[in-house]
Amino acid sequence: MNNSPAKKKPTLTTEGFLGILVIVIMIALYFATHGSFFSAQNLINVARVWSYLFIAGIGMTMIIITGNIDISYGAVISVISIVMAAISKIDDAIPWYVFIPAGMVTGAILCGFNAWMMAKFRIPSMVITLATTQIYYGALLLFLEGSIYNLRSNWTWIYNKANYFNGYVPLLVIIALVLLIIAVLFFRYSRFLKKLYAIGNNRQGAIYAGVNVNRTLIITYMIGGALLALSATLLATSGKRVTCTVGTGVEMKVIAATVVGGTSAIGGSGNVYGTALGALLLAIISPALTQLGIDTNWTDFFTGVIIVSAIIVSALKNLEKPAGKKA
Amino acid sequence: MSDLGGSENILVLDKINKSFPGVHALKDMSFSVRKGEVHAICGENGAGKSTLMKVVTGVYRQDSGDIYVEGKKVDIKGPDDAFDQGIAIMYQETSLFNEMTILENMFLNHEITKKIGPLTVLDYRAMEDRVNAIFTKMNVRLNLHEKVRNIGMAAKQLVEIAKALTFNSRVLIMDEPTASLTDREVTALFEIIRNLRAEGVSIVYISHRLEEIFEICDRVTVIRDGEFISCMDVKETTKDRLVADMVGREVTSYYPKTDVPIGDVAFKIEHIEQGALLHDISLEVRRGEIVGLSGLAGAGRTELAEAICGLTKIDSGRIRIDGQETKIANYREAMAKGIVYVSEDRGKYGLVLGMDIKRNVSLPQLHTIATGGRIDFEQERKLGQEAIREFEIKAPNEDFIVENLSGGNQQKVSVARATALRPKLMILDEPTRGVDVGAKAEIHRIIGQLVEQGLSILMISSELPELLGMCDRIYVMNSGRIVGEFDREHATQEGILKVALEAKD
Repeated sequence: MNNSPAKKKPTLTTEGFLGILVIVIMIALYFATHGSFFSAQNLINVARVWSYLFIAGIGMTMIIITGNIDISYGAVISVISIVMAAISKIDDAIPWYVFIPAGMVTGAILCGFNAWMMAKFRIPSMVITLATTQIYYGALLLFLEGSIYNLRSNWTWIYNKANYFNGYVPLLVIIALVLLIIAVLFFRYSRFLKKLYAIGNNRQGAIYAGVNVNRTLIITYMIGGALLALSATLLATSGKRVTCTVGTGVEMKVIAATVVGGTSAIGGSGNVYGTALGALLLAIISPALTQLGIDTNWTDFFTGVIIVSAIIVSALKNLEKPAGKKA
Repeated sequence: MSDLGGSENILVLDKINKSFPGVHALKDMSFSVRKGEVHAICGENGAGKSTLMKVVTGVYRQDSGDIYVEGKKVDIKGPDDAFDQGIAIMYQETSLFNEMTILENMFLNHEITKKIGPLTVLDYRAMEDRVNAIFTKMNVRLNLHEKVRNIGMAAKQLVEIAKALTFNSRVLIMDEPTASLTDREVTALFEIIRNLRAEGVSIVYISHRLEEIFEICDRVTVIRDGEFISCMDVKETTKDRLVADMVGREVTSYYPKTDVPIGDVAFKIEHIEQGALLHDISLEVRRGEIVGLSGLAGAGRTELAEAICGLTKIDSGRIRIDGQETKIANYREAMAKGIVYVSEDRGKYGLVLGMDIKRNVSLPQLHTIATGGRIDFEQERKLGQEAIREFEIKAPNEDFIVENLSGGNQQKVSVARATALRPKLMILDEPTRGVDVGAKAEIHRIIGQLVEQGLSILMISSELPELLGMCDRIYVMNSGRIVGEFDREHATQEGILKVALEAKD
C-alpha cells in the first residue's frame, strides 16, 4: 500500500502568483508615476471598478467552478439598472434600500431563469445564456427608448453622496469589502460550495453522492444574479441618465477577472480571493495607463495580454504534473 | 469467521423489477445479505449487477419489488436515503473529485458541521479526526489535504474505501475494488475486508476475478440477464460451476492457446533507456509468438509499450524489425513499420466512442481507402462488416455506435482496428481488463487466430493465469527493468510473482 504521505512540495498557487504580481505592479506604478497613481481620487476610481467587477465575479466564480458559464451578465446588469432607475424615478422619497433589493430580485429571477432552462431542457449554459442575452436586451428595447433621463437625487446620491470616512470610501466599496470577507468564509466553511466543486469535477459522481445538481445550479445562478444588483448600482448611478446598454461588455470583464484569478475555465477548481485579485488587476490597467500617459485605447490590448498570461501560467502548472500513469 | 448458519439478514431485496426503454434489466431479482458476511455477486457484463446496485443505493428507482433493511421495509428514493440506511457503495473509479482534497472527497454531501450562532459551518477538525481514525484502522497514511488528482490509483482506491466507511455503513458495496490494484495491494485490501467483517459490517463484493471470490467471500450469488441464477456457499462450489452459471453453459477452456509454429525473430529491442522509467531493456518477439509482459502496477510495462511505439521518446537503445535496425520517432512511423498498440484505456486512447464501428475501424487507415481526399464509403463499410464478422462483434451492423457496445465488444473493435492495419507486431495492453468471462474467452481465441496468421503479440496483463495460459514466453518487469524471463514450461505463478515483487534499488 502507498503508506507514505504524499510529499508536500512548496509550490506557488495561481492566487499567490497573482498576489505577488499585483504588488509588484503597484510598487512599479508608485515609482513610475511619482506617487500620483496613489492619489485619493485615482484610488477611489480603482476601488469602484474593482468593486463592481468583484461583486459580479463572486457569482461568476461559483458558476465557472461548476463547469458552467453565464454570459448574460451584461444584459442582466442592464435590465437591473433600468428597473432600479425606473423605481427610483417614481418618487424622490424612495430610498436605496427599496430599489436595490428590487434589483436583486430582478437579477435572481433572470439568472435563475437561465439555470432553470439549463436544468429543464438540458441546454448547455453557454448556449442558453447567449440566447437570453439577446432576449433581455431585446425586451429592454421594447419597453424603453434608449435611456431613462433626469434621474432624481435618491439615485445619484449613491454615487455622489454615499461616501464615508471623510468622503473617501464609497458605500458600495465598503459593501464589496464586506462581501469579500463573507465570500471567503462562505467558500471555506459552507457545505454548499463543496457541492459546486463536486459538480465541476465530476457531475455524475456528485449525483451518486446525493447532490441535487439542478437545484444547486439554480440557487448558484440566483445568488450570482442577485449580487449583480450591486454591480449595476455602481455602474449606473454615476450620471443623471441610465442607458439600456450600461452593462454591455461587463460579462467579459467579469469572466476575465475570474479566470485570471485562477478559476479553471473548465470548472472544478478556483477560489473567490483569486477573483478579487483578478478584478484588482483588471481595475488598475486603465487608470495605470492614464497615469503613465499611455493612450487608454491600449486598455483592451493589455487586458487581453494579462488574460493570456494568466492562462499560460495555469497551463504550465498543469503541464508540470501530468495525469497519473499506471503500468 | 462469520457464522454462515445464522440467517440474520441485514439487507433483503425482494422481486425487484427495473426496465429501461427496450430493456428489462432486472426481472424479479431477489438477493439477500447476512450480517457480517462477504457476499459476492457474479455475472457477465450486462447481467444487471450495476443496475441492481444502483437500485440499492438509490441512483435508480425500482419499478416494482421491495427492499428490507434489518427486516424493515424501506423506501430508498435517492442516494441520501441509502446512506441513512447505512448502505454505502464504492464505485470503480467514477465517484472521486480530482481537484478536491482527500478530506473534501470523503465527506462530500455528508460533511460534519457545527453551529456558530445561527450559522452551520463545516467542522474540519472533526472531519480530520474521523478520517484519521478510519485510516488508522485501515493502516493507511495519506495527506488529507492533498488533492486527489495528485495521488496514485491505489491511493484513490483506498480513499474510496475510507469514504464508504465514513458513513458508518452496515452494508458496504464494493464494485470491482481490485481492478487497478497490484497483488500486494489486494492482499492489504483483503485484510481490511476481514477486519470489517469481524466488526459485523456486511460486504457485497462485485468482481470479475473469480480467484478473489474464493479467497475472500462467504457466499456468492450469480445473476444472468437480469435474473437470479444461484446463491451458494463459496466453500461448496467450484470455479467451473460459477462460470457455467454465469454464461449459462460450460466453458471448457479459459485460455485456448493454439500451438503455432514459431518463426524468426520479428522484433527486437536492445538496451532501451528512458529517464527514470526504463533501464537497459532488451527483449525479442518471434513470428507467431505470444510474449507476455508481467509486473506490478508501476513496473514500467505501459511505459515500455509507449516507448516502443514512439508515443514517448527513448534516450538510447536500438530497435530492430526483421533484423533491420530502425528508428521510430512517433506513432505514425510505428504503424507504418508494422507496430500497433492497443491501449488499456479504450475510452481514452483506443477508440472514438461516439463514432460507429466502421469509422473506428477505418480511422487509422483512411489514407488507404481515400482517393484524392475523398473517402470511399463503400470500402469503409466493407471494413466494418469484415471486422464484425471476423471478430464476432455483437452488434446489429457496422453503423452501431461503439459507446453502446459492452466492454468486451469494444475491445474486439480495438483489436479489429489494429488488425486491419496488417501489423507485424501487436502490443496488447491489458486486453481483457473489465471484460466478462465469455468475451474474455473470445478475445483469447482471437489472439490465437492472429498468431496463426503469423503476427507477433506482446501482451501486457496483470492477470497471471491469463499470461500463463496464453503466452509462449513471459518477461517480468520490476522498477523499469526486465528482471526475469520464463518460457512456457517453466513459468509458474509463484516464480513470476517472486521476481516481480523483489525490492529494487
